[in-house]
Amino acid sequence: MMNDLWPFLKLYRQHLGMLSLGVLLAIVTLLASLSLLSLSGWFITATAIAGLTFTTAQTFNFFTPGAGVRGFSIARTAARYAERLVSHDATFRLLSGLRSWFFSKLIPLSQVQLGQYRKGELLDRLVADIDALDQLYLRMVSPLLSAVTVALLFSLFIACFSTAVAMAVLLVMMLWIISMPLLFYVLGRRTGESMGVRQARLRQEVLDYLQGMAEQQIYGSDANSRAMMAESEQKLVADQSRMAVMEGFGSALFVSGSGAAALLVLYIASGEMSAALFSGPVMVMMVFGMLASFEALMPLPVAFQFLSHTRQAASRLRQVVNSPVVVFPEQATGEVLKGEIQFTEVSCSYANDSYANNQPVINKLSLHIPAGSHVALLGKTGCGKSTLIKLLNRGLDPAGGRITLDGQLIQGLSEQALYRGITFVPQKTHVFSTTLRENLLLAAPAASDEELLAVVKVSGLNGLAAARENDGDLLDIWLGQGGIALSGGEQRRLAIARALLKPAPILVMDEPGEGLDVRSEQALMDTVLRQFKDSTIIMITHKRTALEKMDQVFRMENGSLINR
Amino acid sequence: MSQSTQKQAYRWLLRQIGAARQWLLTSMGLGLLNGVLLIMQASIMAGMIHQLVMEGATREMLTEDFFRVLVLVVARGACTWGREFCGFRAGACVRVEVRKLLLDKLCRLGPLVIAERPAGSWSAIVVEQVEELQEFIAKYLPQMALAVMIPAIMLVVAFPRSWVVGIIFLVTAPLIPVFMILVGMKAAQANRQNFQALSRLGGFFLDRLQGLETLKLFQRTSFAQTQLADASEDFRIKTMQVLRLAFLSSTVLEFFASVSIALVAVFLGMSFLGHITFGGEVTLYTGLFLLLLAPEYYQPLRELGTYYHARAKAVGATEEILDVLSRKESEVHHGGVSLPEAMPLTLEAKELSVSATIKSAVSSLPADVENKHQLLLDRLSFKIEPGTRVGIIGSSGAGKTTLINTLMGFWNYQGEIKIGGQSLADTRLESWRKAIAWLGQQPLIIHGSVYDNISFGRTVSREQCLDALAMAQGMDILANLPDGLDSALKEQGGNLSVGQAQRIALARALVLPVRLLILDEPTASLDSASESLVLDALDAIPDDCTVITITHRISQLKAMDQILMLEKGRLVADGSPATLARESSLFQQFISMHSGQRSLDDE
Repeated sequence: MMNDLWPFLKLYRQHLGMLSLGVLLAIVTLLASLSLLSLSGWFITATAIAGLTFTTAQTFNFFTPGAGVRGFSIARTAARYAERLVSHDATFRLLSGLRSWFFSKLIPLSQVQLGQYRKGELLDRLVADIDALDQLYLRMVSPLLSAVTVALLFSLFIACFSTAVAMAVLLVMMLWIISMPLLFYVLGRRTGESMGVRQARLRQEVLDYLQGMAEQQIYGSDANSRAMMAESEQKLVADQSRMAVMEGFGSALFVSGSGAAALLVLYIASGEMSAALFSGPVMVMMVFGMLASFEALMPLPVAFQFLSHTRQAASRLRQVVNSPVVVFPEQATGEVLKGEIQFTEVSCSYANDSYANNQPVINKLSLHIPAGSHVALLGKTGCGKSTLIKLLNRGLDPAGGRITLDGQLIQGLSEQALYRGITFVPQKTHVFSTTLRENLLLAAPAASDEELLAVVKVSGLNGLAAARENDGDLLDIWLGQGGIALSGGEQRRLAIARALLKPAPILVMDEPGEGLDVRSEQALMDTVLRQFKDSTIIMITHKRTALEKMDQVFRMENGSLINR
Repeated sequence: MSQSTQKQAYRWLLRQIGAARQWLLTSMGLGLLNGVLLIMQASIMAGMIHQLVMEGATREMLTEDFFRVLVLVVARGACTWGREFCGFRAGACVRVEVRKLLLDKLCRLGPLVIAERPAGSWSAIVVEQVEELQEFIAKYLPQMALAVMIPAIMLVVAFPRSWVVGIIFLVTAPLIPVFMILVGMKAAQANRQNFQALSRLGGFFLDRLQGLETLKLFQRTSFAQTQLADASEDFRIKTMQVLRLAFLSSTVLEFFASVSIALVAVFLGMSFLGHITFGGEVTLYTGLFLLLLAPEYYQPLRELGTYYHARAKAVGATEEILDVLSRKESEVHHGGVSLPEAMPLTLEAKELSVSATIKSAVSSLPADVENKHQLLLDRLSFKIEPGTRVGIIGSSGAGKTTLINTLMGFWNYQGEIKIGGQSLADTRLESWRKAIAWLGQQPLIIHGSVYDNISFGRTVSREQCLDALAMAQGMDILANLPDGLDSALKEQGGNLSVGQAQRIALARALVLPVRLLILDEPTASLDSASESLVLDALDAIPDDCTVITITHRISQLKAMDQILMLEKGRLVADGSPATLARESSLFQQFISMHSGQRSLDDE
């Protein structure tokens, strides 16, 4: 179990100060609360006894306990406030650390691996998994540490008066601290796992139902699907119901446990008091303290009920982090300057089985592209053109054969050298949800606003201004989520604008004209060809636009090339 | 999120309780009983201590009391358990009910509305958002009642015993409603901002993860990482500023709970010592009893505070749910007359028009264009004889898909559509749809076996499935699957190629005899090999079945009996391909334009 969680707990080290402070404050809060109630109990009982005769009443020192009661009540309030602030602050820091860490682990993953996670909602789930891990501190680590500390300190204090009562207190609290987590971890695990599976199943059925609404209505199978979903929902509710029964059981044990433990202390202590081992007020203090100390044990059952959920999240993340990575040589000196590309008998296949059906394999492909020549690769949808691009950006390594740039083996180039040497226009443009400026600066961090505006103009992105009422600064338009959603054509324009900002000896474009009308596509291609006049260009396309401007046209079919 | 929509959402949510009322009342009742039992437990324990300390009783004399407390303690546990369980049932009732409302609504809205957004965003509302209602119903609502009732009972108990302690409780009592509002507003606001900040941060993170490939291509990963750290830090600082204020309100409550214990203790101690003479005689029993009550007096309210995030989450979810439920349904014509089984299926449209309200995304259109009616189809008239192969052509946005959706009964229309002379507006849609099958651009594969995917909830024998699959040229698919017809297919056809998935979808369309087959660019997403397989399969369709195909492929047009050409919602050419090639200049233009810049996929 710890195997899964350990790497994440290790990340806590960076914030050890904050986290310990949070735990410390939690302990102070609990102790103040405990002391307030037990001291009050002692005080009332002691004064009641003292009040029986006039002399004892007059000589009773009420200042110290009175001040103690007031002090503890203030301390409890202040410590609670500070504890909440510190622990929330620490959680934010942890979350930020976890995300940075995860991000840095994802960077070296190969594109094929990454592509898998981008599919569907997997990525959403990973993000949720990270959020689940930051709860580990607030829900589990902090409550467990404070419970143990409070149990030890409280029984140590009681031991000053009576070993028997102290033993009882320690026994009850330790039994609770050990058995509750175990019990609820085991109880929660099975149902928790099946709950996750059933919720996923319901989600899948709802998704199928909604996606197939047209088929559903045409083929008249609506009632059937609804019945199926209702059944899945019932099963999910049944699981949740079991979970709720367990949670209720945890609360019930808490309520009964605190009462029974106080009763036990009262029973033992009253025996010892009768034997005059200690006074009545001390006995009251013990009973009240026992009642109050259960506050420290309250969060334990729930925390461990969800532990298996957290553990699964951790193991999923670990799986991602431990996927194979692309290795770039650390100390490579080679640079791509001329832009000559040579494929020699390159073969490749996707190792992953689920891909094997969809993607064609490249088979002993040889191709020489001299520096500065402009080449088009034609082919139908899904003939493996895009695999060539993956080979060039090291998204995928060839299973056989060699790829060289300027005569250097591609695997021998450093990451920087490779990406400095090649500018890519990928098939899918990712629009970051930030300003247009930031989206462009990505390609040229040092570019001035004037340069950016010039590129915006030639790439036709200035059409975006029409989307705004006042034509303000074009570069400040917010794109993506919460801003303007770009159409397919606009996304292409953005991708090309980024490429225009990053000159390189090699330009590789994947379907650059997709989503654009013929005239704009031609205009845009003209601009690109002018800008990259001296560079090597590979254009992958299934359309015939701009072919006449290329030096060479190859057709690709079933993973091999035919010169035209 | 404006305040008024939140209130509206909150009220709507309260109205959904209906079926769950009994569970909720039971839950509250048990909570109340627990409160009463707690008072009894405190009273007995205070009495026992009084006897032990002040009257020199031994524990053997109190055996009965020990047992009584033990019974109370166990009973309180049972109450707590029952209370949580009943609360859960209440929540489950409401969730099932709301989910049903949503699915009913989505079903009525139909496939065209659903297609407006990714299906995942709808299912997130139906599944996840509905789950968010649970804690609000199960915990928050009962606790709201308890937070008022339990302190009230304690006041009634405390006053006769010591009016001073009663006053200490009472003076803070009027503050309780004030604090409820204060804590409510502040905590809700804080929680909302906290959640918003977290989800914004999550969104930012997700966005960078999705764009990781792009970041790598431009060597910006380390920059993005710094950005991520900066954004996290920024969010942390801003959120902590809000939280610092927000936590204050609950701290004040905490403060009152602590101070009331301290006040009660000090007052009682001073009275015992005779330093305070007002407030009458108090015994140790009374003192301990009141002291035990003091922390419990504020406890229900403190608990309520911890459930405020549940309320904020539920209201947020309700807003999204209401957003779906309040969508306007387009009225689709439907009649009660069944379509006679044997009738020849002549399709006739007269002056057929369809209009739609345009909803512009964000504001990419000037305001005055928004929400105007636009004609998607403009007075079409045509006739299709039974058994004809019909091709519908036109540039994108010409209304081709709208036309077939109208024929299938998904759009409301003006004008007239007649099936074998019977008006579609008078026809029971179910009986009409029984005669149709449909195949879209993207094949739909549902979670289940090959058999499930072909039968699609209809009663179909395995032989029929195999026949249909053979007709759809799909027998080779089975050869590659481990369990034949029973092999599980993954969502979105994860273990099938698009071509294979499309042939399974075709088998689904052909498994029961149909008289009209509607195809919306069935080969648009296929490679050439799968395309020819699908085209072969289409050739094998019985001659008496009418086939209407939307297509972009020039090569497919020659095999058609009739071509309908649309442009901007109007029918601009209607006739056999040979006739149109001679007589229609628009058709000639279309052909020459599409052969001029053909894509390779056309070959």
